[in-house]
Amino acid sequence: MDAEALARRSQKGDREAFARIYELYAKRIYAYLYYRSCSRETAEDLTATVFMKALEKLDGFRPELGGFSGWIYAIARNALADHFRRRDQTVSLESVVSDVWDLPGCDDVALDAENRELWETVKSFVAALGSEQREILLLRVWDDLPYAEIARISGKTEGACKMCFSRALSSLREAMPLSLFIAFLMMKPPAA
Amino acid sequence: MRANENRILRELYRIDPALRAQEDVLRHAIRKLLEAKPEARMDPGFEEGLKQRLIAEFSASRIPLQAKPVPRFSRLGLIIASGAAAAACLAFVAFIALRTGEPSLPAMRELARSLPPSAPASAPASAPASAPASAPASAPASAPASAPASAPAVARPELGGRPAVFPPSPVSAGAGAPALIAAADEKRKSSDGSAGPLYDRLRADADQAMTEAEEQSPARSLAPPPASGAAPSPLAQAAAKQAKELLASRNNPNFNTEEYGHSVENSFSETVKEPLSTFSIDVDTASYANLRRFLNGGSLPPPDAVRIEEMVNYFSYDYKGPEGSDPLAFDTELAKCPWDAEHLLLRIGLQARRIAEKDIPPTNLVFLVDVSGSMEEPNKLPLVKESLKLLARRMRQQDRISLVVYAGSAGLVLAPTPGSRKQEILAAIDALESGGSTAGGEGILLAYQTAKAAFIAGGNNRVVLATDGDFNVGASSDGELVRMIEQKRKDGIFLTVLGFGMGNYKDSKMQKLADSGNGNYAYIDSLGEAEKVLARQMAGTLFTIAKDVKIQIEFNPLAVAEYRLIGYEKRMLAARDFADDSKDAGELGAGASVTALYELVPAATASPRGDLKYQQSTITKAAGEGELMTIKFRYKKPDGDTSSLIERPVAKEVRDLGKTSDSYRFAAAVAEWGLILRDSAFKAKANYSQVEELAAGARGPDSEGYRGEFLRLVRIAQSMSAESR
Repeated sequence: MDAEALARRSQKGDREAFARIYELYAKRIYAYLYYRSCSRETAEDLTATVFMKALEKLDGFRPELGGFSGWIYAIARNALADHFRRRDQTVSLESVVSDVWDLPGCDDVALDAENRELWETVKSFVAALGSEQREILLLRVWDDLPYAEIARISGKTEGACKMCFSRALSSLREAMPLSLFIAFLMMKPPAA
Repeated sequence: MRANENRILRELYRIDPALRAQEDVLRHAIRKLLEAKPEARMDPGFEEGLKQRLIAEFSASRIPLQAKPVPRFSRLGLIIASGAAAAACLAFVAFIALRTGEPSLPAMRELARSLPPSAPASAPASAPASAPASAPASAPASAPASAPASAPAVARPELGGRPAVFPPSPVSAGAGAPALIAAADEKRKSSDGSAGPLYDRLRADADQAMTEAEEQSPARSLAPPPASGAAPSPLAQAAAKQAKELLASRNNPNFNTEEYGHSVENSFSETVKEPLSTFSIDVDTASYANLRRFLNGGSLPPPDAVRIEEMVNYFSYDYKGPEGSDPLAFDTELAKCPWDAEHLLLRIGLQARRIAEKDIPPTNLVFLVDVSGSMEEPNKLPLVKESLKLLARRMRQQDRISLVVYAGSAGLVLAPTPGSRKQEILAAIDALESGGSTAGGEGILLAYQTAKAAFIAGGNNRVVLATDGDFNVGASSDGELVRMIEQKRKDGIFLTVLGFGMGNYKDSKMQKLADSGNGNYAYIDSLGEAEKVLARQMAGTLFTIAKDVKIQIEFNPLAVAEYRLIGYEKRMLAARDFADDSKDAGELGAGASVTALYELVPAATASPRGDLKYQQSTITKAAGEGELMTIKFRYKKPDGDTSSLIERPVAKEVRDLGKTSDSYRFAAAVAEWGLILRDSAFKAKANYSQVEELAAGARGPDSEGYRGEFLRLVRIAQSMSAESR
């Protein structure tokens, strides 16, 4: 059964269906949040927030308006934006900070120690992309989402997403040393 | 690994086909990197814990509402449900904030913002939006909050001006108040201690919203919902109360206002010095249902919430019923103690006569329902209503049902009505709404008065109290309530206490009420549990066939050196109380079974001696006849004042554990788990794998799945305790 059908059954009160949705998405949402916060603790807290919100908003999900992935990733995206807005309050007034890559320095961010070095290296390149290209690149490469879902989350057309993605990937390939580029591509979430 | 490698290669070639020439080098590099790959692996314990929490939340927020049959109520139901879900979400966000120590202002604000008012005319409607909007200087993200609060969907600039993905919840604006207060306080906390004008303004806005929300609440909740204009204030008030609790809980590291009476475990007694062990039976099951709620919610229960006798007695055992005129029968079983090979474990099983529902005498039930603000949560009042409806549907022509509510004041909602007029009864239950603070004492008084007015001589007269136990107005000191109930039980009216809800749950108070009111006490955490307690085991829950049931055992010092009763700490009696008919003890419902377990140290010597200075005990001739003990029961008929006695010696026959009954091994498994959960001083070698093995081998037919569920809970607890170690 696909996620949309499970969501419909959950709306009707089927607890097992909701548990199944959780099983399908927990790791993916966690990975999404982890790659944008670089902190296990933040990713766990936000994962809990996302699913609680999903439960709360479940009745507002309409399959005819788009897939379930897009819907739940949008919740995750908002939760993440809230999180970084919150800690960014004192840093900047103009820029919109939506993930860890937008922060000027990581000194005060609770990054996981073992990944810190790699993040710091990859960061300069990924951050240089600009938030629009970066978002689509990460959604495609790390979160492994189809373009249709990416389009729904980012509010662009599928064609624009594809274009944006290939540009982002090419410019990254040019800027990054090859090994780093490979490392970047490999930091994917576990298959759901 | 290989698949990953190839996938990455394909992606590389797609970007730059020229790379194909260096495939070997690339493969090597990829392999090296894969080995060093940073993990974004989710902690399995966290994953499972969150799942259980969500499932519990899902059940609480959806299942009771599902059964709503009447469409004209459904819109109101939806409003209440989404409001409650939002309130739960607020509490959750606050919980996260406390846990991480990070201020959750934007999250709170986001929530406050996502709750546009359902009643535009209501005064506090603008409050949730105005507070964040008044702080643009320090909070850039609050800009979207200035979007019109009453717009049906709030556009979010960060989504490129598209309408928000979610339609807004139709919720009272008053629900935003706690978020505002919490937000204001968070703000102060995060701004280096100096409060400043911004804090003051936020806090003032919040306080105003709270006041307005409270002012709008009617004293009583039973007035029909206002036609238009005024906000549905019970919800606002529930939210306000929740906010107060949140604020109050800030100083409490455990973020938990539940109350559990402390109990000290029974220890081993020497048979020579104290040959008599006396206790009252206990048929309550609340502790098990409550600890299930903890485990499903992702945490281990506090040790004082674990009452082993209530866990063991949650399950029904296949004991043989009485023959002849006795209302009860018992049997015993003895084998090696699973968690201590040197000891023996004795099971005493008591079985009350089973009575068909149709043979229950005419019943006079007074439902006493707490409709205070704190009951406004999906797992409280909506579940109470569904539970009472389950019960009401089973009532017969000759039965009477009344409905009393209490909140700001107590009131009779349904005068005693025959069980045949079901529609009237169900409609009265359906119309219950929450709001106001809790005058529990007054309500209990009115309920007993109602029960007395409709008293059926020779019938089953009972008050059924449904509450989260959070009495805070009126005759609410525990002592005062207990005295009042003790007084009332002399009128021949029994009491059943049904506990609902969580977070602010007063277990100790409810248990005390039930114990002093000739009553029993069950915790209802789901509609499934309501079905068990109120439908399948209705006769046992609501019809007492013997009261003041006491057990006294005299152990034979030649067989037993020491003994320890497992659990029943709050039910211990002095030896002299056994024959004293003025001493209150537990009630036994029709068809109910009671199980007690003793851990015994077998006697090693043929001439045991007490080391007393002034007296010496003499062993009688009877002690040499191979008996383990003599067991005595005392009970009264439900309307009687003098007790009857059943007495029987029990021979010492030790079975192999493998040859014991399923009942024996399952009860042993439950007790062993209880010892682990309490971290008992007497747990010896008690361990999870043995609990699981014993229980799995003793599931029996388990047609209702309770034993299967037990196994599931044991596994959850095991993974959680492994994690915390």
